[in-house]
Amino acid sequence: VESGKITERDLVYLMLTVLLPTVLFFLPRISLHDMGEDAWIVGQLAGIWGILVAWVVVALARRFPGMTLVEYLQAILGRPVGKLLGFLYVVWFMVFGTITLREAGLFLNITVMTETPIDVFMVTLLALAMYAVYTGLANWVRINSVVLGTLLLTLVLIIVLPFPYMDPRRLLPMGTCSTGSLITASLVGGAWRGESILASMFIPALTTTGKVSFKFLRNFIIAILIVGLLLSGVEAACTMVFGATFAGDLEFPIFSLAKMINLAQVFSRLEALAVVIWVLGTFIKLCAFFYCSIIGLAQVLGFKDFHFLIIPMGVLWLGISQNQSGNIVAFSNFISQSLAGQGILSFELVIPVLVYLIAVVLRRRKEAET
Amino acid sequence: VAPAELTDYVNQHLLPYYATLRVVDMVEMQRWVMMSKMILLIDGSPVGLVLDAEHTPVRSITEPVNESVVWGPRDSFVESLRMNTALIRSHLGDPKLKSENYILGRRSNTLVTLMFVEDLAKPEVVQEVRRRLSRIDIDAILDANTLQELIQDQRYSLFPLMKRSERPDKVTADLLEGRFALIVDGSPQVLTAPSVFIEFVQSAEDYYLNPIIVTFLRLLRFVALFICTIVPGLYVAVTTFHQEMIPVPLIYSIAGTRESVPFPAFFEAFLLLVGFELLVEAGIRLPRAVGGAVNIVGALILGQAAVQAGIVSPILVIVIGLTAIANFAVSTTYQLSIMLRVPRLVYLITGSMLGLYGMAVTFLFFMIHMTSLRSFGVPYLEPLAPLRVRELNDTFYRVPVWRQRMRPGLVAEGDLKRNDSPPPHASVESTDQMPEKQRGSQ
Repeated sequence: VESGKITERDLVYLMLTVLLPTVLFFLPRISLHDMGEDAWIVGQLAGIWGILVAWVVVALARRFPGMTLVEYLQAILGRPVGKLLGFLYVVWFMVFGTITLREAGLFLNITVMTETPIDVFMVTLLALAMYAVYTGLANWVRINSVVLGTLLLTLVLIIVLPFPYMDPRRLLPMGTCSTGSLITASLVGGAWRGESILASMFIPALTTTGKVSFKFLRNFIIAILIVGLLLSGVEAACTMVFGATFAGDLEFPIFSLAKMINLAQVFSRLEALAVVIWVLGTFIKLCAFFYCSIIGLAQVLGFKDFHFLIIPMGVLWLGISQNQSGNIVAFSNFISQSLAGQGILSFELVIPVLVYLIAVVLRRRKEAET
Repeated sequence: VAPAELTDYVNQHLLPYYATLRVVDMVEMQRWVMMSKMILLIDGSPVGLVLDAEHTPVRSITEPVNESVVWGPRDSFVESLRMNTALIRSHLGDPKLKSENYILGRRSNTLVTLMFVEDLAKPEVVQEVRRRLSRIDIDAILDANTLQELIQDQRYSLFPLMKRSERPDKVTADLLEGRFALIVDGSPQVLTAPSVFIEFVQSAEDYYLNPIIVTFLRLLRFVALFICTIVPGLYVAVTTFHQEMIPVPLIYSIAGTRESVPFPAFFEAFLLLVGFELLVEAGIRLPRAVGGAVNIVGALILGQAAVQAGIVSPILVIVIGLTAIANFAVSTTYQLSIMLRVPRLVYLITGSMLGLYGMAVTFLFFMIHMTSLRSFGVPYLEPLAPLRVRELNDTFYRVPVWRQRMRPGLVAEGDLKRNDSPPPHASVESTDQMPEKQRGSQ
């Protein structure tokens, strides 16, 4: 279905951009609220779930080279069940994608442009994503090398520049949380790291022929660790600047952190700029989910071309995301309480692992027969 | 020897041309004679060879007008095709440099020469050019741009997909990177392709100056690129939507100067930008003798008086003035500077509608558009997207010549290594350390 090719590095960079926006803008609040001073420990801990997902993705891709997730589901589970599960995956891509869209709209609406209707943001971003996907995989993935650079640079600056207000003593007391609550909290973060499952839709489009290398897995894991590191950095910086109690009540801690920047009286209050950079990242993430849902649907239904699906799918996306939770509190609760468990426990980790085990068992049985 | 073979032999071995045109019928021959060519006929042979014998009036070679440099070669192309090919040949003595002649235009019969270095240019690209040239069926080709619009990859695009240059050294450098050149008789600019966006901010002078200085100049040029496309929109977006980003003393002075201005910031900026574009246009069209008058009217009467009358704020005049300067600082080629006014206007409109968010969306739109562009198969944003780290050595910075070892891999093919010379190092001892020789008695 897809004719464009991307390199392994492109894909790793893409995964980094896919993981970063939500993780950095929504997770700090949740974990600071729940974990207090220990939030920064969770930031890195949740990466374990992401690494597990990355491992499953690569293991499955090596077993079925040249196939996307939706395709090898059919190869493993047979046509009816595989197609059904593939379709559910498409729905899941749509759910997470529309959440991303909603999240972008809400965030812009709350932070910088309070009087603009939220639909304006969602329609423009979605239209742009539709145009991007229309131009082809090899094209929109490449924008990412520019976007990711600016995104990482801004993040590091946001973490580092408010240093005059930082007080390391605010990190104390350290390690007061129980192990159980640490694991629960890491699950919430893990769900957003588990978006790595998206990579399984892109692996067949890699320029490397044959199986994906373990070097790819290594770089993938490094990308996930970088996300965790940045998240920990943001959480630690927030705790040091605002104190854990106050930071937990902030709507967007990283946004408030950017507000504190005042460099030589010239660059002050850079939060609007931070938002803009974040929009760039979210856009790439949106494109990735939109692309996966379209190409997944085309593969489930057996279409040779996917371009004609772009407009109907876009309309559908807009409808779904308009009907996502109405305000930021409901939205925040939804993604921290309901969605997190659902993500990691089903489509991101548990189902892929089960599918992988089934594939292994089937292969063994086949080998035993012959 | 049969007469036909003799013609071939003469063509291949005795004539100084690589691909001489041949005629087989009288009508065509008549056309050539009317164009003051010489026809070589060999008794018994059915084919005649067309030879250049004409003396067409030619302007003499002058300094480049639009791509001037402080240092470096100062010759530029003229309207005569033969003169232009000779200029390129004089810069590049490689026997692998091939040229192919085409006659295009049913009525104009314009001679077009395709030049490329045989073992550097990708054969597929050369084949593609030949194919695109062969599809042309037009009455006249009067300028290189006619040809460009007929053969470029995109039917509609704002961005220049083929480079036009009046400098033989630039064209030679492009040929050496595996690109091809198209020389149109009667046009003093030569087209080269495949071209990528970054080429349009590289100046010829960048290779005639110290690489460290060039790196500064390049950064300056990218800053200028940023200023001349984004800053008017940024000013409007920040003053209308994100006032908190402006330092407090500055916002007081902006508010103070804007107090008497009756228009919204967008309209103000739009007014000034249109005024600036008018000045530029008028400056080009006006006879040289009255050019100074336009400057005075523009600068003093419009600029000064508009501020005093309270139509525009002085800070905006500074912003637009900066934009205007940056626009011409970035443009190593006119193709870019004339095109940048469109993104500038788009950024201004979206910035005034949706603030920084609108500008981010516009940026993304242009990025998607640019990554989807191809120039004869080469991605337009190469080496940035697709990212090719090793080829970044001539983009935001330039490394010294001894470190520029490879040709661009997506453009050239075959002999990719361009430079194998060792890094410069001194093998002679410092002269103050040498034993001083006795001054000989003379």
